[in-house]
Amino acid sequence: MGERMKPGVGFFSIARMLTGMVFAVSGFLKLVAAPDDFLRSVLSYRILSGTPAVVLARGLPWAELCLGVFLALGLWTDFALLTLWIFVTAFSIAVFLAMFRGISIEGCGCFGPKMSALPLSMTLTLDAALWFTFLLLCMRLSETHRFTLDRKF
Amino acid sequence: MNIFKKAAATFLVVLFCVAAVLVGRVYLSGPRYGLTARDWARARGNPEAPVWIVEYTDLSSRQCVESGRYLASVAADPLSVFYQVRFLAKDRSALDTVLRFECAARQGKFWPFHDAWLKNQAARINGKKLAECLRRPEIEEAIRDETKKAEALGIRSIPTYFVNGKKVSGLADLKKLFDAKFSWESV
Repeated sequence: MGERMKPGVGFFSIARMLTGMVFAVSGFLKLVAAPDDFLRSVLSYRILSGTPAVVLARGLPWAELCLGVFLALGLWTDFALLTLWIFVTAFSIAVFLAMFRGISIEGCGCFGPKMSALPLSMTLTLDAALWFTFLLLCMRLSETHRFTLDRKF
Repeated sequence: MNIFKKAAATFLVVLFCVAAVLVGRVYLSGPRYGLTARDWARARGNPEAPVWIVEYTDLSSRQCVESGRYLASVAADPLSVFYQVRFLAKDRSALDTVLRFECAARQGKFWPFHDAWLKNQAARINGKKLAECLRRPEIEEAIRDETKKAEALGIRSIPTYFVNGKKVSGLADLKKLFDAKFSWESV
């Protein structure tokens, strides 16, 4: 017989899939948009410039897309979870620094050019929510690992 | 054995992601870098460079030629600067000059023509095609339209630059910006 469903098991699996999808959609929208749109978002935070900014602008959307899909499907779950948690932490710090330095940023760069016009405070709130979701997922790893492809291999 | 299956699954997922992006770029994306074919003909450098300069100019004016020469020297590194030329032709003389540039661009010879103009040299472009192009009313219309758009952006004098979106009027201010060892703090 399969494992008996415990309360909350469904919640953590669904939270994992939804979180993965958020990143996959975010990466996908950046990748299909004009490449300079995300580069401009990266530059607007005034943390990186030159080659590091270009490398980040080109590489990050692919990482978000692939890791997001991995997390949603439950493939390399721990790695995807940890890496995306680091991304959210780094992005939250960047947003916080921008607010602290009073930099005016038109688009946070979160979901491509058409869906990035969120105020920084709202972006920070969403990031905080994501950050705590990751914390919960990591705290309940065994339940997060339910319905994952990892369990098939 | 399972590790091979997992590697195969990973490969398939990555392949699916790449395919989805390629299909998405065909059906969902707008013009590359937000530039039209006409813009591309008058742009040079790496569009992913950290510095984007859009120059509004009228190369019938001596000031603009001087600014163009300066910009050619500071924007010489195509990897770090993306440089785009747009025109603002307010009078007949400016319009006549700009028309030549537009027609050169339509022959794919914008930059040779531009560089030769700055050096007071003759550019190697097809004179017959140029003469035919100069007679076409839609060319003049396109320039007038470009001028209207520039004026709508609040550009009243030439040369005016947008350096990473920041408006800079005149050569003196542009020099100040670059002399301050161009940094993100200054933009």
